[in-house]
Amino acid sequence: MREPGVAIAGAIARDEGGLAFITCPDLDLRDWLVREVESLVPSDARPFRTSSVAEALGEPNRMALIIPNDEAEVVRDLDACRDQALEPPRTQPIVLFLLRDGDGHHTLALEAPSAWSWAGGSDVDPEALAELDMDAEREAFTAEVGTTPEEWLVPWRSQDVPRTQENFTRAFWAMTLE
Amino acid sequence: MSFDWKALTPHRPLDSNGVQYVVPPSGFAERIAPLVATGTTTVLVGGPVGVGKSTELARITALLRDERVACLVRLDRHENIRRLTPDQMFSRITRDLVELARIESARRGRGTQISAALLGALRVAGTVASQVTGVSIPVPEVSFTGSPRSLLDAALSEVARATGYTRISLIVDGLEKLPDTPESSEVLAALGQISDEVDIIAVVPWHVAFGVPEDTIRPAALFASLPAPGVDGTSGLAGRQFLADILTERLGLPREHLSENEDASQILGLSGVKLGRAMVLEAARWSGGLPRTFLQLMADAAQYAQIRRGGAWPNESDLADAIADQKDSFRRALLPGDSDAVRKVEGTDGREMELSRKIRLLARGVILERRQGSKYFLDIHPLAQPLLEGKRNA
Repeated sequence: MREPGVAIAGAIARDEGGLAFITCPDLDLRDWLVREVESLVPSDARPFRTSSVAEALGEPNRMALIIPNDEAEVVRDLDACRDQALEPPRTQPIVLFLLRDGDGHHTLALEAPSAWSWAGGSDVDPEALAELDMDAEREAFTAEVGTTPEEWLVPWRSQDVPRTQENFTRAFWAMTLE
Repeated sequence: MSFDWKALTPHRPLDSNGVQYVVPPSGFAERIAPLVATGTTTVLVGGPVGVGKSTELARITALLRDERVACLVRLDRHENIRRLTPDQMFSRITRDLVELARIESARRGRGTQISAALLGALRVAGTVASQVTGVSIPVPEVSFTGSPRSLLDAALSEVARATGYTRISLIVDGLEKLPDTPESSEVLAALGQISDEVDIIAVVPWHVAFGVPEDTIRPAALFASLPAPGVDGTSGLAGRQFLADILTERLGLPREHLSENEDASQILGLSGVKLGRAMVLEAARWSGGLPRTFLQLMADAAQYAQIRRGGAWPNESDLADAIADQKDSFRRALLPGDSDAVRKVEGTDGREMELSRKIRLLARGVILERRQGSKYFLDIHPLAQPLLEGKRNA
């Protein structure tokens, strides 16, 4: 099975300079997810928040967290500007937060094949997190890591665990289970 | 042995220098370039996202370059295509053309052959910056002012004369992102108004393919759809090997690494090659023949392998998760009514499908146009097939 934490971390890290969608059930959880992503990404990603595609494209070496005011417009602009991410090549991804079943997803399905293809597979819905079998997941975490999620997060939060891709992924996984 | 999976870059088309290029089973560029060389002046290219249109355009550019000025203009690298105006398009083409001419002049050691008068006029118009290929462009004392279209015409004439070529081909990429609006039609019509002495090979949106392209751009324009190669069964052998070859090229491996010759693994002394090939061919099958989807599946599977086992060659479980990611993506591309509509046209030429739905699904590669002999038919993408059957986890 796909661990949700791995899926989220993977969506953000999978494509250097790529595009990832994080689907949010509501605006409140959108804010929470933005903060979670900010807290998890490597510091050299220098994440910043914006509502503008042009601003996101203007910072190719920083992780842009697009929190749209108008989801449909942002998706249309991403569709029309996709290849601007190739020149100069982005080194950090663009992460777009969209409401589930909102205008952004509707526009993606209806009008924006390039943006859809760009993100293909980097499309995470926290609904999957809500559907977690917590007991089974905690058991799997403990079996793989050797500690409970809470125990593992203590040294992580005190910066005593190296910030490797594997550990970021593990941190994401643990946080969904604590 | 470690592999540089980051080098797969599924979303980056190849440049026109030919490095890493693999000829697709359709031989698209190899077929189109001679047509242009022998008098077809307008080719409109269509195809689903990720099928390799930009890479084939770069290849066409390379094939035409020996006998004419072949200028690849990647509009979408610089412009928001949604808001593109005819003037912006003319200015971008002019800029790239002048840049190409100067690079070519420098390469041949003949010095700069673009006149100071033209460069000055382009600088005044804001078409070129104060420097072009490292050479400062002075502001002229008496500035010529012209519309972007007139400056493009001037540049075309001067470049043809300066380079000694009688023919110029403009290979224009990115216009497939134009929305279906009156403003977009103006952009396409403006492209068609460029002198008949200039060949135009341009990627266009699907709605042009199903409209009347010769009315939209130029009379007698040829519409050429770049097909995704078949990857199923015996007839899909060439398609699967094509994708495997792309993978080895991007990873910087010898093609024998994933060739059909099973002894290659022994020859090269590479362990796990046979297993690797089986997994690669399975990814090829799931990609539906779309190179971008294939590379994304392989990159994702490799990332799962990296996270779980520290860089081993991806296994079936990694690929299964990569496929699941892609299926989710396809699921979100489907709208109410799509399942029935797609099932109804599978295996037919698709004429009975409502046009807007057909355009939307073709553009995304949910349905793929295949060719068998002289017959065209619609095929359902393998990643969409289980979703249409209602088996999300199939």
